[in-house]
Amino acid sequence: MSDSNDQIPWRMIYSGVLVWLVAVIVFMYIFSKVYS
Amino acid sequence: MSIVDWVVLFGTVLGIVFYGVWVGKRNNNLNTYIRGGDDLKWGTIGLSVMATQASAITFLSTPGQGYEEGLAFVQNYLGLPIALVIICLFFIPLYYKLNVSTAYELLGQRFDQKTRLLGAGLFLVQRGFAAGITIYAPAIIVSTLFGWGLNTTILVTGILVILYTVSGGTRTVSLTQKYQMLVIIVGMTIAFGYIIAGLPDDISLGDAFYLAGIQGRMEAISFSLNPEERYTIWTGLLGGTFLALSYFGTDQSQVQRYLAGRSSVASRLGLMFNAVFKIPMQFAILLLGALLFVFYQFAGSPVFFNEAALDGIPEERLEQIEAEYAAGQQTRIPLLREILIEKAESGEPSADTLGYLVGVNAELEKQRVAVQEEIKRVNASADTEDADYVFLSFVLDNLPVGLVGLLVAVIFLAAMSSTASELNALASTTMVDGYRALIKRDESETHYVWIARGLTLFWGILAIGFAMTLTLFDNLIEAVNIIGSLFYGAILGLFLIAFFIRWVKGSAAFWGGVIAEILVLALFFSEIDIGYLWFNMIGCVITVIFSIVFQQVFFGGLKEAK
Repeated sequence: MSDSNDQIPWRMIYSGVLVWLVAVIVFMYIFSKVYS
Repeated sequence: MSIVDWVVLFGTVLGIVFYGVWVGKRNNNLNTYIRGGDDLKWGTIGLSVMATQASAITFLSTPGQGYEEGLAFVQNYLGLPIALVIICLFFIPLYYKLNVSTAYELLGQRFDQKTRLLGAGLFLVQRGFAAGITIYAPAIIVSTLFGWGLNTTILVTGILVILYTVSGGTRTVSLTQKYQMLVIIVGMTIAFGYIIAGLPDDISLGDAFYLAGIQGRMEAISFSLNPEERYTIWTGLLGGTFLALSYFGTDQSQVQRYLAGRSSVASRLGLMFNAVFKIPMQFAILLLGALLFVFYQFAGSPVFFNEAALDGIPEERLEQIEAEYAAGQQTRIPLLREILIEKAESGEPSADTLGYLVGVNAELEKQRVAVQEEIKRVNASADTEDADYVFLSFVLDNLPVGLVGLLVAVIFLAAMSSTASELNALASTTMVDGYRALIKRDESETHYVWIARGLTLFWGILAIGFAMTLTLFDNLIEAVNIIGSLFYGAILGLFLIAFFIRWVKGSAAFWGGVIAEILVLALFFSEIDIGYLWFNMIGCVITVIFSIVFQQVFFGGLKEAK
């Protein structure tokens, strides 16, 4: 188990996940409005 | 169930168990047994974390929730991605840096032994209780629907889990969970397809969504600030983040899953996999429930899904209720089609047609209330909720031979995967934070592996025994959530101090945690009525505040701590 000095762009991944969360909320909101 | 279903059910479940035992027989060193060998890939970790959280009751209760109340429950998961990002940023680097085997070992290294034991002890109490319920909750539903003995179902599930968890430990639990989760995803996708295919030919998927929507089943996001509304975007983002932070960050049954990664990169990617896919998965399961609601409006539903609960109601009375319920459902079908025609012609249905639908639904609800009253009359302590039975009833009555067995296997695999993580974590915590820390410090690896195996067996037998006595209690799922909320807050508080308030030391943190736990329990048993989800946050805040105050007043303050 090594806490490797990786080259993965973590900041971009975390931001991407939070943007994804907002996109999912927006999708579910629009979905609700269309079918309610 | 037919012979083919039994073959599929046993083939799938036993296949996983034999695979687990086969993988586990080589696990004879402590690192592999407790930490999974530190070589699992991120995909395995992602599926294993997902399988641990998704217990059988997820696949029984969540469609029931979608059927009865719609999609709003999905908001409970909105805080999950935020919590997982926080864990990747702050928790995982420290877990790896300190090279811990259990989450509570970190408390020992950062504070002292007594704070470590407090964290481990609080975890053991609440998770030990939960393990019994994880086995019991699906067993009661499956045994009722299939007419199996409840204790036999509990015993079979428990023994199968014990078989491979005892032999292989963490590595086996994670590897089997990967396949369990894949079977679960395939099974649920097939069920989803069958519900859509089961709609009448003239009803499109869009029509089904629309009919579910006008009957209140499609509201996924609510911005309401009304505190009486159970699920809103605000409770989801605030309460959900707190709950997910406690569960994924400090509960050994989850921490053990991602610490089995070959590096912190694998651990973090595994959690990010869950941050991306968990909400869509829950949304899909709730949507499946909402579609079942429309499916049964055309196909006709029984007046009460748990048919075993109807035993004892006078036959004449039951027949009368069922006849009126069936007649009401027949009246509704043309009405639903009329609504769709009006919508196609003028954009939306007329107020008269909608009002008529509301009236018919209210009449049907009266029949359901009547049957619930009859059930209570026969047995005052009987459960009059039937939402948990909706999905399996659909599977049993509508899926072809073979697939029924596969879907029942899905329920068993989900129960087994969650239970395996729990037993594995309970045994690891007892061994690492109790036995090795307090009783025997310098024994051989083989000695510790055998002690861990013995402890897994011990917790397994305890969970089975507990599950067999649970019939004495009501509201089990709520009970496990309440117990979790009562203990999670103090544990999370201790971890947040460990990470972020470095000048607070062991004794202050320990007494802060003890006082917080006493106050939370006192609050719970007092007359004050607080929603149980809030206990989590209250316990955490009290722990942090009291620890800071104690450090400042009794233990020398900031200067001394440095």
